Amino acid sequence: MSESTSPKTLLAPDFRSHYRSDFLHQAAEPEWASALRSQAWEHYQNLPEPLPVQRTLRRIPLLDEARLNAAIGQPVDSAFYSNRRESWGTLAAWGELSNAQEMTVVLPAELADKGLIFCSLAEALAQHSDKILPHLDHILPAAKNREAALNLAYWQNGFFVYVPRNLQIAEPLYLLQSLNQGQQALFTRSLIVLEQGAMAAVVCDFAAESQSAASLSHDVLEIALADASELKLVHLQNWGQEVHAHSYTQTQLGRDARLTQFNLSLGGSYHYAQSQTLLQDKGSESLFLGLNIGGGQQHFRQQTLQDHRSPHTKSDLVYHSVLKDEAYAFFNGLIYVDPLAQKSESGQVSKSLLLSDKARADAIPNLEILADDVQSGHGAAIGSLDPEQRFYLMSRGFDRQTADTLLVEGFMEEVLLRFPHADLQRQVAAHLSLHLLSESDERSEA
Amino acid sequence: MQTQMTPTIEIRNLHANVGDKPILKGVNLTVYPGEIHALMGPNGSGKSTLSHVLMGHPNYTITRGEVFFKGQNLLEMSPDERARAGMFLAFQYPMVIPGVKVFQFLRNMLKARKGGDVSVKEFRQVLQEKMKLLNMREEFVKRYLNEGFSGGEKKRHEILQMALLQPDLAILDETDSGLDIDALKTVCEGINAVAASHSAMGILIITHYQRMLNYIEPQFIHILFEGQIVKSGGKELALELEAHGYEQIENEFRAALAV
Ligand SMILES: Nc1ncnc2c1ncn2[C@@H]1O[C@H](COP(=O)(O)OP(=O)(O)O)[C@@H](O)[C@H]1O
Ligand SMILES: [Mg+2]
Repeated sequence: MSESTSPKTLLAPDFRSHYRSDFLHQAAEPEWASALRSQAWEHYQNLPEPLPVQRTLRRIPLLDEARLNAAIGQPVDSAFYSNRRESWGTLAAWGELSNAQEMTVVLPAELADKGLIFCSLAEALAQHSDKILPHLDHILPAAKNREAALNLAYWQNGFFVYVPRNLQIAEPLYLLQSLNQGQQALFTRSLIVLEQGAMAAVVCDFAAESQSAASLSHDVLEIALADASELKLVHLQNWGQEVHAHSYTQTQLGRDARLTQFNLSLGGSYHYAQSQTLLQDKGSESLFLGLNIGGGQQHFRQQTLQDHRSPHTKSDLVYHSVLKDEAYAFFNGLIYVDPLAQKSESGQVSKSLLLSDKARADAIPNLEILADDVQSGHGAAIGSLDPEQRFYLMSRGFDRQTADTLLVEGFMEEVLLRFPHADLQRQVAAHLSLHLLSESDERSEA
Repeated sequence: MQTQMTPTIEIRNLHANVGDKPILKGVNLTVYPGEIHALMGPNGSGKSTLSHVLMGHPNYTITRGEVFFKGQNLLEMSPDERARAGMFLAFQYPMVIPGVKVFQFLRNMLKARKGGDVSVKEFRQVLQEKMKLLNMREEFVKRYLNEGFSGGEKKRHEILQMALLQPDLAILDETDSGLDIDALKTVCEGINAVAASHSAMGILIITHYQRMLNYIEPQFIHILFEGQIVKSGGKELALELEAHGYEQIENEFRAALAV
């Protein structure tokens, strides 16, 4: 599978134009699951190609997809896993996915006894099809979303989390994905289901050491939140600097359900992150938080949708980008308010802080409001550090660098403080400080 | 009588521009340790500009003149060096800095001034004492820097910083504006208490009105007009201003120019 195939992969057809069955090396999966794959491939072929990207100040970095290999089934170093895991403090349970294939899950018996299911999605196909069938491909349907179709055709593994009715877990469930090889095509897919009244905090962490050749990480996360359930989700992309990442998360919310989703883009050379929330039933509520921290030539694209379908739904979004060197962030967000969604409230704010002359950001906020009795607001701002704020801090004895650091931290803190889980707030803050620290080390070495 | 003492600040013939526009046109002012001076003048006369220039704001260019702070050449120092050397400016319009918590800000500020660590315990103690002095509630420090503060809260917060830093020169730029009469009284008492505990501190009160000077008595009053100090005197000058307004001084000034 490995060395001997490399001459062949040079000639291998692009996985977007021909189905690369070598991308899958799963053992048998239920027939219905295979059928879903081929159907998804059909959809992928038939759905119109997306329009060329508009209004972008930077070209999307190229990835030679034809050279990508199938994901290798090899576990990542366990020390890397344990270090990373421990950096998140106390966890209720955790799972680790290596190179989109191998998975380890540690779930305390006590939680399993309460009905919590936490396993690989591949395993769940066979064991928990009753819990999967209502949601898989229903929340983000391949028939409507081309990239979701591609993912459903190729997905190799991912997580399945099922929180039964009224089970409330305060400590986070930790879902880590990693890789230790370059030039791979990783198609991963996860499903999180919270039953009525359930509560959970989940961290989806994508982290790896940098490799010499670029890989593609293509991840879909479907989330079903039943009535009055609540999910606090951290989605942290911290891949090595060569990875091209595409993530698609879609959440469907039942009556009075609540979602807080915190998207952080720190790593990768390119990250396209699509986050959508479907406020399907009355009283449901979502909050999107986002932080992009970019340096070098990193390129981040955030695509969001707050989709209000029922009365009294509420959504908000706060995205901040901190960009150095030649980094680029693009925010494209849509608030859609259906004619039925009266008395809904929605908001959207994106801000970018440019720390160098060559860093760039762009934002397109869109509102499509078809109900008349609603509240909605949006704003976007792009700028550099405010010299008056810097002067104020310096007049209190902070040197220039410390003043600037304080301003940048404050800018991130504005987002962080909105995340309603004190412990995770602290852990994310620690990860951010570490990230900024390691970046400035790299700079001083260069 | 003060000849053997080094002035806290000595401003000699200071000229400053914003871009090409001259704002300060030859300011002379000397403050000795422990002295309280008031700088008064109509809107737009250059009071805030002077305070910013003294603190080292990068928007202004010094075109002529010298400033010595405790004998050191002030104009060579960056704003943070000036602060650590003991200069303090209470801003007329303090900046809002979202995401920076007041508690951490104040503690780090004190560390920078002392050039060493200040333990949380030690800090809490001194903070509590100073907040009591200014009649401030403890929740205050859990908030973010000036975010959502009322005008009065911002001004109190400026004076709290002064009380913590114990500067050698405090420039108070229109600290009275935005304060109601009770708050003005508390804040002025606070300033007096800091001055009493740190008797070498010089104070330069910048104000448009006389009312703050009812609580803090300056020994010297200066009138700034179009970037120059056109008149200096004792506290009777403030009363004179209160009675006749700035017009009289303006007229005198114009008449002098016409000669
Ligand atoms: N940054 C600046 N840019 C342009 N003009 C300025 C700036 N700062 C001050 N000025 C001008 O300088 C003059 C004095 O302003 P200021 O020092 O704020 O006066 P005061 O505090 O006495 O009311 C005004 O005419 C003002 O417009
Ligand atoms: Mg002023």
